[in-house]
Amino acid sequence: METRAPETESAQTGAPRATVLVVAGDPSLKLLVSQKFRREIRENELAFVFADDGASALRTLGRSDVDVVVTDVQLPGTDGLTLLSDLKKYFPNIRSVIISAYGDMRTIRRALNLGAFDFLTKPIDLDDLGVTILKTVEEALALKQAVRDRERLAAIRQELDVARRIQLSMIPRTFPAFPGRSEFDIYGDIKTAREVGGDFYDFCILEDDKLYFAIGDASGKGVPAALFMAVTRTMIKAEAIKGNAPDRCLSETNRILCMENEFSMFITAFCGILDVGTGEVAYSNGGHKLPFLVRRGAEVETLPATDGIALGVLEGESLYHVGTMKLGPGDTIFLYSDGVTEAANRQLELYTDKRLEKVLSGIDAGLPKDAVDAVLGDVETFSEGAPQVDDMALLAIRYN
Amino acid sequence: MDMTVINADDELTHVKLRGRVDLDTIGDLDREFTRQTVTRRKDVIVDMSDVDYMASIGLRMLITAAKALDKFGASMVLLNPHPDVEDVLRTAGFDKVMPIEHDLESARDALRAQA
Repeated sequence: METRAPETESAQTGAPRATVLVVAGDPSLKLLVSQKFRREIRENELAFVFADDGASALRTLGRSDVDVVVTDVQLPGTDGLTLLSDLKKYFPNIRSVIISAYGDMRTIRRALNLGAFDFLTKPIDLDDLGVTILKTVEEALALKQAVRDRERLAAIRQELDVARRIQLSMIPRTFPAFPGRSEFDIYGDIKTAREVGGDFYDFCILEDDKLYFAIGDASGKGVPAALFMAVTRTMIKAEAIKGNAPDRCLSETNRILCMENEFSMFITAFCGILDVGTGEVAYSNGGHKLPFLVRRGAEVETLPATDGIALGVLEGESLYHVGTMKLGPGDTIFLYSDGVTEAANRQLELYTDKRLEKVLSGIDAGLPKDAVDAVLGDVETFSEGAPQVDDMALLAIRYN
Repeated sequence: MDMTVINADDELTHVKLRGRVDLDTIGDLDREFTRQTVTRRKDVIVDMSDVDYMASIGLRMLITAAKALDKFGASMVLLNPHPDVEDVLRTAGFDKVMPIEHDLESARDALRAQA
C-alpha cells in the first residue's frame, strides 16, 4: 500500500504580507527580530531577510520584493547613512528604519533627512522594536497600495481617453459638413461633463436628396451612458438609411432597446428628415426637449409636440408619431439637450429654456455656427465658472 | 436627499422624497426606495412636492420601480411635483408610465383607474 506525505503547508504557502530586510554587522539583531516576530513569521504575516553590509543589502534588494529596510548606522564597509541615500535613489518606495547609538541625535537627524521613516536606539528595547517595525510595515504597505492604485488609475485614464476619441469620431465634427451644398447650412457641437458622455447629435445625407438629423441624451453619465448612446445613435441612423420615416426609426429602435435592458437605461431622442428640395421636415420625438424653430423675422417658437416617450422605457405599438412642418429660406431649426437648459450657476439656478429662447431670438437668420457659439458663450457667462455637471449637445440647421 | 414612508397598509404605499436627486445625492436611496415600494407589491403614491431637482438617475429609479410594480399588478402615481420636475417628467413621456396628480384624492382615483 502506498503512503502519501501529509500535507503540511497551507497557511505558510504564498508570498508573505510584507518582507523586512535587516542590515547589521552584529548577529544579535537577527536573533532579536526572529524572537520578537515569531508569531508573525509563522503566520506568514512577515518575512525577514538579512544582510551583513550595505553592498549585500543592495544585492538582496535587487532580487527580492522588500517593503521595509531596518539598518544599523554602523556597518562594515559603507555605513547605514550611505545605504539610506542609495535606497532613496534606487528604491524610493521602500520605507526604512535606522538604528543608532542612544543619544546620537546628529546621526538620527541626518538619517531622517535622508528619508528614514523612523529610528531605533541601542540598546534595543524589544517593545520599541516591535512597534516601530510594525508601524513602518503598515506605512510601506499603504504606500505600495497607493502606487498600485495610481498605476491602475493611469491605465483607466488611458482607456477613457481612447473611449473619448472613439466617441467623438462617431459624431460628425468636420465643418462645413457638405461644402458642395448651398441649400442648407448645418453646425453642431458637444461638450461632455466627463471624459465621455451620453449626449449625441448626428446627421447624414440620405437618398433622394434628404438630410437626416438627430439628437439624443442617454440617462446617466460617463461610460455606461456613452455605450448606450453609441448603440442607440447607430440604430436610429440605420433605420433612417433603410428609408424609414422618423416615427418608425424611433419605434424600431425602442423595440430593440426594450428587449434587453435589465438596467432600465433610457435615452431621449429626436430625429427628423429634411427634404432639401422643398424645405419640408418630418420629425418624431422620443421624450427629448423639443427643438426651437427660429423663423426669419419672427418670434422663436418650439416645434409642435408629437407625444412620444423616451426610448428603452415602454414596449408597445404607436408610441411614436410623426410631425411635419416646412422651413422657409433663412429659417433655422435648433436642437439641444437638457444639459444646456439645466446648466447651473454657483447659486444652483438653472439656465432655463427661456434664456435659451432669448439668445436664439437674437440670431435671426445668422449662420448655424454663430447660433451654437452664441448659446455656448451665454451658458458659460451664466454659469460663472460653476463646474459643468451634464453633457451638452447642440445642433443647428438653417434652410437657405 | 431622503425618503420617508408616510403610510404603508394593505392597499397602498405612500412615500415622500425630499431634496435634489442626482448622481451625487442618490447614494443608497435607490435601494431603499425599491425596498419600501416594489418589495411590498402594493400601489404606490410618491409625494414629490419637496423634490427640488431630479436628474435622469432619479427618473430611472422611478421608472424601474414602476415597471417592476406593474409586473405584480400594482401601479405608481407621482403626487405634486414642482413645475420644473413635472416638465422633465412630461417631456420624457414618463407620465404615460406613472400618472402625475396634484392632490391625494386624484392620486387615489388614478390608482383605482389603473387597477
